[in-house]
Amino acid sequence: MRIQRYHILLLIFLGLLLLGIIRTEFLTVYSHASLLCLSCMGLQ
Amino acid sequence: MMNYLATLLLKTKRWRIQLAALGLWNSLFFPWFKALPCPALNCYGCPLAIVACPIGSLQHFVVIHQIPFYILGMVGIIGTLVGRMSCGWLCPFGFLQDVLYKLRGPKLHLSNRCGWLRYAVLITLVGIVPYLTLEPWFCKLCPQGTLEAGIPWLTLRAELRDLIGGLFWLKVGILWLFLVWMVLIRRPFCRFVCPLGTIYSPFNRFSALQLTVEENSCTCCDRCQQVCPMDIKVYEDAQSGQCIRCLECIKACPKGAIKVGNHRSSSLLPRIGQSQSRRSTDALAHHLPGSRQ
Repeated sequence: MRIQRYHILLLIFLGLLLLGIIRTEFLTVYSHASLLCLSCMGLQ
Repeated sequence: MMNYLATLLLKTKRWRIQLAALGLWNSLFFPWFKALPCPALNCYGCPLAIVACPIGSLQHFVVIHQIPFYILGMVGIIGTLVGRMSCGWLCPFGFLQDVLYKLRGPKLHLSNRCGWLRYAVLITLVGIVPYLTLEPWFCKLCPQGTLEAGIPWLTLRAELRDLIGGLFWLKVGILWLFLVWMVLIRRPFCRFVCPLGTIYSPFNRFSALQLTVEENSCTCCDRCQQVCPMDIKVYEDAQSGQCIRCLECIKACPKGAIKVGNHRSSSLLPRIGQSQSRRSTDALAHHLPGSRQ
């Protein structure tokens, strides 16, 4: 199978995702998304 | 694998998947999924939302001055695999736009020439302004937030109504403007505003899923543009950043010239002039005495 551009991009983004997981960024996303978002509602 | 996915999707009705996605992102049952960004734009402020909005999360990282590796990785992987396909199949706001455009009323064609506006929205409202003001300004103005979070929460919780101010009414005004616009033209939010679609756009050129137009079969009849929710001529640029990979053009093409394939795209731009002259010759032939109607 020939290596195509999207294979390289996939590897790069997988690396970014892994880095984000190691830095526990998913917890930041969770804690932010779980709050009542007043900005989304246009109240703040 | 992408060919298999496309074949599968071509057999199903798109609205069913859009409806299922709307239900899945807002199904209330698995709240711990909020650590995962949704592949499409879905407000996490919605009382039923189970996933995080990628743009809201991205802005949060901008506000706290951190690089969002996790979100960029997730969005990048989706974009690399299917390009902008999640806009066409999984986005609740895109679904709303498709439904509203089907309503009876005057229809307008607006060129995609102003498509650069969405890049301006992404850079300013999602990047620069939140970085400087420490406030998520895209969320503050997002019409989807009004529809999915503002109106439902204010209906459910009376105590929140005391917080209603000018910003809320501005948001309601923006929502109404878009709702009217959605009846008149195809997917205005996706074409001129959506920052998530803008991030996915460049991936259309590199993604595993690619569309190809067969030069020998295409007659440039514009049938693809007639059915396209983004109002694009697929034969001009099959990998256009505006294409949401809804695959409607493949179903509609009378010659079967548009295909899914992960090889390089073919652009028919040099042939357009040729085909237009051919069309005008055909039109002339219709008016000639003795010609077949």
